[in-house]
Amino acid sequence: MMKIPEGGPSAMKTEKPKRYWALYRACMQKEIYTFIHSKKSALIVFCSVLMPYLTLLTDGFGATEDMEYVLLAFLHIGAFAGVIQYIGDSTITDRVRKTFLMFHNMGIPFFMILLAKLTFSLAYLAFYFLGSLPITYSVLTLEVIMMSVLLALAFGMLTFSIVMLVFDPNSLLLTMYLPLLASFGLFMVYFNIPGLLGKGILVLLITAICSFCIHLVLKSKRLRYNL
Amino acid sequence: MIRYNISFSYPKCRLFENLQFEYESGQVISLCGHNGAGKTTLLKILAGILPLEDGKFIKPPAKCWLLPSTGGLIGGLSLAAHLELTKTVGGGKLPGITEQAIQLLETERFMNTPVDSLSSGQYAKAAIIIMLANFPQLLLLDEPFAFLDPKASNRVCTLLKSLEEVTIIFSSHDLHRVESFADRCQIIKEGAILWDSASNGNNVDLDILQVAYDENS
Repeated sequence: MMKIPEGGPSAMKTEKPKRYWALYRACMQKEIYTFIHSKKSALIVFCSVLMPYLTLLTDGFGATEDMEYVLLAFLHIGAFAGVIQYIGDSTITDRVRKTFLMFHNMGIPFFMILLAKLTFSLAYLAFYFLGSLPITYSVLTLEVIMMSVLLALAFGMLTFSIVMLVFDPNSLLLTMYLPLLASFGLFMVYFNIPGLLGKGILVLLITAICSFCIHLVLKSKRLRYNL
Repeated sequence: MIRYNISFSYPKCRLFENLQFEYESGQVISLCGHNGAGKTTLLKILAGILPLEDGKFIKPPAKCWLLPSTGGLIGGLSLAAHLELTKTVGGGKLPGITEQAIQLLETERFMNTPVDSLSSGQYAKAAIIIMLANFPQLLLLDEPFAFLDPKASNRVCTLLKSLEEVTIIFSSHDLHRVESFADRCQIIKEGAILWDSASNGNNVDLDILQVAYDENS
């Protein structure tokens, strides 16, 4: 008879930081593996990088100031559309393939999976800003980057929560609608309301609060129903 | 002895009403019954995935693993990559039974093939190996033999039987398999346990099972 050996996940329970680090690394490993194997995600990332270059196709509204707004708008949209699309797409795939059940079996908490997705999104954003540098160098400040990153991550969290709780994972149309709708919404905000920073913070706060509320609900029955 | 009083409803359908479910640690219990009887739902409730009617979840008494009848692995990843993940979570070690299972189930030749490219039987073998690599002590298996050939089924039974202090609850329609593998059998119909081999001296003889199944399902 073979006895269950000592050690493994149960033995690590007392060493929480070490265990969380191991779980985080496992989640990251999974994200990297699946990203490499998903040609669609790579294509989306590539297309998002091209977003700021769309400015070349327009002359804004005539004035240089407007041109900067157009460039900024495209820059922000590219950032958060890429993150939303990536997180939405990978979360839907995880649900459809019952990957979350395996994570549940392994004792990996959901926030750890989200954390890995956000880390991966940060890597995407770094790639994105570098890729857009040839056209955005004139408007790219630390403030703009921070705003863009925070908005993108907040929307990424929101997307994760929504996909986990509400949407039918088999509906692939949603992977298109969600980023498009959100992109369009923020596009309008940035174009029509001056005072970019103040309004941006407002949007960020609302998004973060909504996301946090949904995350509280994530611990409820509904999430596990969706496993 | 672990006992539960289970009441559960789906939004438009009441399934279990005060279902008394009990099992002894280390037992192999089989759940039988026609399609839609509630076997999978019961396994999900025992795994703490579906809530009871009062909103509470059952907390499994030991590290538990629910093996779904289909899916459950990470698409695009191979069996080797899954084991690598398990190793990361488990602190760098895999139990000896993992290697034994790989050899016994003859999975060496598709260790590096993405799981979505495997046949249903190969996928099922991979899922079982990954489960064993995670040190579970309560195995909840939903139709674990459905896609396996007889040789592989026998070997999976041998592997599972070799585990000490592990409780196994599995659903199956294969009464031959139930007879050879289970210590105890329960037949479920419309959310109630209509027959339990425990009330019959835990006799899971095929003839008795067949009669009980025909009468109660």
